[in-house]
Amino acid sequence: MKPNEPLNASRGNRFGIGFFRVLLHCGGFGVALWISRIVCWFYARFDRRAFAATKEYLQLRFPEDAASEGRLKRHFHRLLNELARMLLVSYRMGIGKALPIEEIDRKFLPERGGAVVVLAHYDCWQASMDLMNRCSGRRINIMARADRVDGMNKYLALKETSGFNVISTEGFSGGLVEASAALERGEAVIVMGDRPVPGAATVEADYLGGKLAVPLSPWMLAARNNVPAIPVLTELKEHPRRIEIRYYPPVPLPEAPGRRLRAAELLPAAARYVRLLEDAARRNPYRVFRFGGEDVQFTRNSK
Amino acid sequence: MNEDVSAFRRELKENLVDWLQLMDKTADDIKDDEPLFKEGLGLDSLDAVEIVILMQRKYGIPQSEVENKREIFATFATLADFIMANRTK
Repeated sequence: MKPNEPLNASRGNRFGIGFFRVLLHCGGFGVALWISRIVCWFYARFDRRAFAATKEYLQLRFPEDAASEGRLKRHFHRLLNELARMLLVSYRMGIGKALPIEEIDRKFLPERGGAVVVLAHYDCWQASMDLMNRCSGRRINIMARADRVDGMNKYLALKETSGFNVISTEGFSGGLVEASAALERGEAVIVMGDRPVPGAATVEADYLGGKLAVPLSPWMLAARNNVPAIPVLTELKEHPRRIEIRYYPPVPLPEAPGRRLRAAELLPAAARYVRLLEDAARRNPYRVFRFGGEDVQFTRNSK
Repeated sequence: MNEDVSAFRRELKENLVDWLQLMDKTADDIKDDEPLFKEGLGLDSLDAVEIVILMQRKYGIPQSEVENKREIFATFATLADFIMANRTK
């Protein structure tokens, strides 16, 4: 494996995904979940790189256990179990066995015109993309790292849908020129607001007593094209089991001046969004799937 | 290079310095054949969007005109030539 290869490039191969899809189809969700527990135990025990990538988040979220490798590993194991559960939910949607979806405050997403939809690698976030594909009449553009487009296709079955367009974040503009043009045409652009691609402009905001570096691009694109930026978080809920997609009010953005927008002008928007992520991490600590490490995303306050 | 082209390039350089807030640069520092991004002028992905917005606001070029045309942004000269050929105001 190459040192800078993303974690998902060597985890979740086609065979494994196919195996779990067959298992879901034949054995049902419960059996697939049970088998996934064995796989998760293996990764929790032996995947040092994945643990290292998650460690910074776990230390921030569980400061009382920050110095204990053993306790952090137990948290890591729980997080992997939750990750597997969420992936199984998304695979299940892919084979036509979707869970009921409950939308909360959909009113915040305008029916027409451009909009930046800001998602996070939290809970069963893939489900929100699936929902938008079915419910929206406008074209949906998803920004994704070129080396993860295959992964997205694997998980989201994008090739089978027509309303999606994947914008690669590769290249001189990181896909932002294409995204900006899409917004001008009145399309929606989905951006992951919690994890910057390498080389992206970021800003640091307070998070769980430390700092979290998040991309500036969602707020910049929205402000520049005078469209709303709508945070969306998706959670798996029980009793009854369903997927809750919650839309948050548009994040207030600065007036776009006749010059470049400065990072300081976009910081309040980013900070407001990070507070949402912080609340989510407190609510469901094992459903935060940022897998930091190579992108250097967390820093701990020295004070 | 004729006078029109030369004058336009000069104006565009001044607009770029002003819009992108290139504090440590003047129009004279921008070389025609210098790459705009990374090792050249050192612009980043957010600057790319700012340039597209500048093209839209000051020269009336819709964003869709520059979408998927990376070659426009190769150097200052390629950018200037494109704007000059496609401007509507």
